[in-house]
Formats: sequence, C-alpha cells, structure tokens
Amino acid sequence: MSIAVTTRTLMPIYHTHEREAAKVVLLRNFTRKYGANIILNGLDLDLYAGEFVSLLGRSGSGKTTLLRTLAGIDKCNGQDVKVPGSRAVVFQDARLLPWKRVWRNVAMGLKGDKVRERSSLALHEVCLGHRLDAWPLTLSGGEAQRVSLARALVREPQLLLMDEPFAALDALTRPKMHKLVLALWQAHKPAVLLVTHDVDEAIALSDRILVLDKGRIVAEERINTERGKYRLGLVTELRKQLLGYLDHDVVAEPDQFPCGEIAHHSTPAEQFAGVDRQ
Amino acid sequence: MSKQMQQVRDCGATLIRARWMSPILLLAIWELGARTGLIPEHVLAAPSAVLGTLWQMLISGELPRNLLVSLQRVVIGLSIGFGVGTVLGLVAGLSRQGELSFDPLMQINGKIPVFALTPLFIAWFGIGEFPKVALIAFSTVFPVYLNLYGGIRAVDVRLIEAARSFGLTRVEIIWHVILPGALPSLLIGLRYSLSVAVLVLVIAEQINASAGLGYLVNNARDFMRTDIIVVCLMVYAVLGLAGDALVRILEFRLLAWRPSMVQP
Repeated sequence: MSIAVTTRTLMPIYHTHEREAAKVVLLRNFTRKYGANIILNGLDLDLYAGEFVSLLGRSGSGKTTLLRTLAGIDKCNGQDVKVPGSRAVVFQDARLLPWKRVWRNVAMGLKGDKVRERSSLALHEVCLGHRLDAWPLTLSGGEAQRVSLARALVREPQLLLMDEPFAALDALTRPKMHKLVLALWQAHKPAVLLVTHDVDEAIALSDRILVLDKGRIVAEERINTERGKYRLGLVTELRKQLLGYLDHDVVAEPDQFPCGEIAHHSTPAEQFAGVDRQ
Repeated sequence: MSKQMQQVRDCGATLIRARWMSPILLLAIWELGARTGLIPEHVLAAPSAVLGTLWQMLISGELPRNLLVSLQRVVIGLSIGFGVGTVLGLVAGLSRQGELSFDPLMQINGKIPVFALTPLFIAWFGIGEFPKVALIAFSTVFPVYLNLYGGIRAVDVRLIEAARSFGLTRVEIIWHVILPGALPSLLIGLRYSLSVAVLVLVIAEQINASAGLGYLVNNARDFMRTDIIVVCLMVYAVLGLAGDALVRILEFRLLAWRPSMVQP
C-alpha cells in the first residue's frame, strides 16, 4: 500500500501543468495521531480550483480532523500540505459570537475599508439583508447557518470548508440550504470541501465524492450528471455503492451499538409481569 | 348573598397570597406590641418611632453625612479590590504562567475570614481610614478574581477556534471573543463583591470609627437607642439593594445580546 502511494507521488501522472497549477489543496501521505490513536493515516488528497467535493464517512472516520487540518485549526508540523491562504469554514454549529450583531459577525477579522458594506452585501446574498443589526441568539438555526455562510463568503475564499453544515437543520430547511449553497458556489466558484455523512446530500451537491474510512480515502466517485431533481434518480447505483462503503464490517467494530447489555435487562413491563406471576 | 360571600372569600384569598402581606403583618404586630408596652423601647423601638427618627436624622444632616463617609469607604475599597481582582483574573485566566503564579495566592486570600484579619490590620495600619478601606479592598478581590478567571476559562473553545480559522490574531481573539465571553461572569463577581463590601463595611466600622454608619450604630448601642440602630439597618439594606440595582443596570447595558434581555 505504501509503495503504491510513493509511486503516485513520484510519477508524473498529471498530464497538464495547468491542472497541476489549478490545485488548491494538496496533501501527501498525511498522518495525524492523538497519542497512540491514528486518526488520519497516510492520506493523499487533491482539490482543484472551483470544484465541489464531498467527503463522506462514518462517525470517527477522521472527517472532521481532516477538515480542521485544512482549516489551519490544527497545526501540520512540517508535513506535506498545500492549502490556499484564503479559506473559510462553515461549522455545523454556526459559531456566531452572541455579543456581536449579525453584520459584525460577518465582518469578523475583515481588513480594509467598507467593511459594513461588504458584510451587508454578503448578508443580502443569503437573503438576510433585513437582519444586519439583529443579535445572533434571536436567529433560527437556518438563519444562523446562513449568517455563517455569509461570513465565509465575504472573504472570497479559494477554499470553502463545510463541516456537516446542514446536519442540525430540519428536513424542510435543508433542501433550501442546498440550493442556496449551490447558487453561491456557482457565483463565487471557490473549491468546496463538504464534510457530510448524508449520502443523498453528497450526491445532490458534488462533482466528486470521496469516502473516508479509518483515516484514509477508500473510494472516489465522480458524478457527471447535471445537478437537479433528476440527478438523485439517475444515480441509484452510485448511492447503493456509497452506502456499501459506509456500511462495511460494521459488525466487527468494537464499539457497535447496541452493545448487547440492553437485551439482558428485562423491561419494566416484563418485570411487572414477572412479579405478577409469582 | 352567597355571591357576595364568594367575593369576600376570593378577596381574602388574594390578600393572603400577596407577597407584601407577611412583612406588613409583621410590622403591624411589631407596632401593636410596642404601643401596648409588650415590647419595651430599649429592646425594639416601634416602626412609627423609627420613621420619626429617620426623618430627624435626615433633616439634621446626621444620616447623609455619615452615610457619605461610609459610601466613600465602600467605593474606594471596592474600586481597589475590583481593579486588583480584574487584573489578576485576566493574568491568571489568559496565561498558564499567570495561573501558576497568582492562583495559589488568590486561593489563600479567598480562604481567610476577613473578621480574623481585623486585629492584624489594626496592628499594621492603626485605627484610621486606611485599615477600613484596606479590609474592604482585601475582601472584594477574591470574588472578582475567581469569577473573571472562571469566566475566561469557560469561554466556548469552539468560538475561539472559529475566530482563529478566520485569521484573528491572539490579541484580537482576546478582545473580540474571550473578554466579551467572560463579561457575564465578571459582573457576577462584581455583584458578589458589592455585597461582601457592605458586609465588611459593618465589620470595619467597628474599629474605633468617628464617623460613618458603624459609628452611628455603636453610639446608639451605648445609649440604647434601638430606633437609630433600626434606621441604620434599613440603610444597610438599601445599600445592598442599590448595589444590586447598579449591577442590574450594568448587565442590561453591557449584556444586551443575552436572550433574556433581547427584544424579539
């Protein structure tokens, strides 16, 4: 396995220099450990400018760790990592500062002039032009997440990282957010890495889907079908395949649920019945 | 007939349930007891007598003059205590080295009963203004320190991470994320230290004071003037309430973003 990785890194398998230059993210043989726990294990990753990539994986597969590395939250201590200087993150929880009004949250850390105008423009783009001066704690979950999107986009990032941004939203809000994210992506064309565990979401949004498992990328699928309501219908086979990647050897996992303890206890009703019979 | 009875009964039930009912009842019993001679005046003066004394002390300027002296002690002592507590809380909250250096000292400070310190402060600083102010300052450092330090350490690490991911520098993170996040705790510390300040004021003014609320109380005790003592008790209570109101106003201004304060 490690030989294969080496070969891939050394050999000029990329056909054009343009394509090489268009890479905004490049990770080679990247490893991250917490103590003896290996989270990311010799991982290779390429992201190209303007492409929408989803990263699928089960809980504990290392998705969030990978995103934190790309976001610069965790340090890379001298490993082979190339990320663009301008990047922005949308977290699962919007992580707005409750003591700053909405537009000031969007403007957080912005340099230069016309900061309020730029923030206002970004908020109008996510249809929140009317909430510029609202306090974040008065927003709904969906609104907060849109502010968080505006805060990311106002920086005109080359790389937009999203960590399960729609997971906490209700089923009616989620498709609207998908639409909004696609529209914003098409308008600004950042490279997007969307971390998710929702296969349908990944299929609906992405150009490319990566499956992460045990700290390495175990599958890569490209979708050429145009986005829209027909896409989900056309890719039944792909969904089955992706679900298969996510579902493999679950039984062998030591921390599988339920852990077996529950079945041994009788329910209160059974206990009651037992007492009754005695 | 029965309808009227019902109304009377409802009215009675409402009166019994009213929060102000029990204090009023207590006052009435107290007044009655004093008037009938059941409670002698050297034990407890009647509420009406207390009100009369309050009025006299107000117009003679005796009460305002002494209250001002006491207030001055509280304000100076609390300002020093709050200032020192804030600085040390910031240092210990924001840096590991600061915590290692100052936290043990502060914990010792917090564990010493102020009452026990009084003799030492008299031995050091005599019986003038200084030991009184110093006692208040000493005892108000800890609540401010502890709450600010705890507040800083309790700031949501996810907010700090988010700020870092948007390229904020350490100083910017402290200013925009950590300090506003710790502000509610600092105000709780202020509220605690305010009530401690009033408490310690009482103790401090037992040290041979020649002016102040404590001086009034001590004098009144010597002359068995329970009416003056009760007036001073009332003033202490008002001081406590005023301190609380002050912090409430500060909270309303500074924490306007909190859900309980936010107008929907």
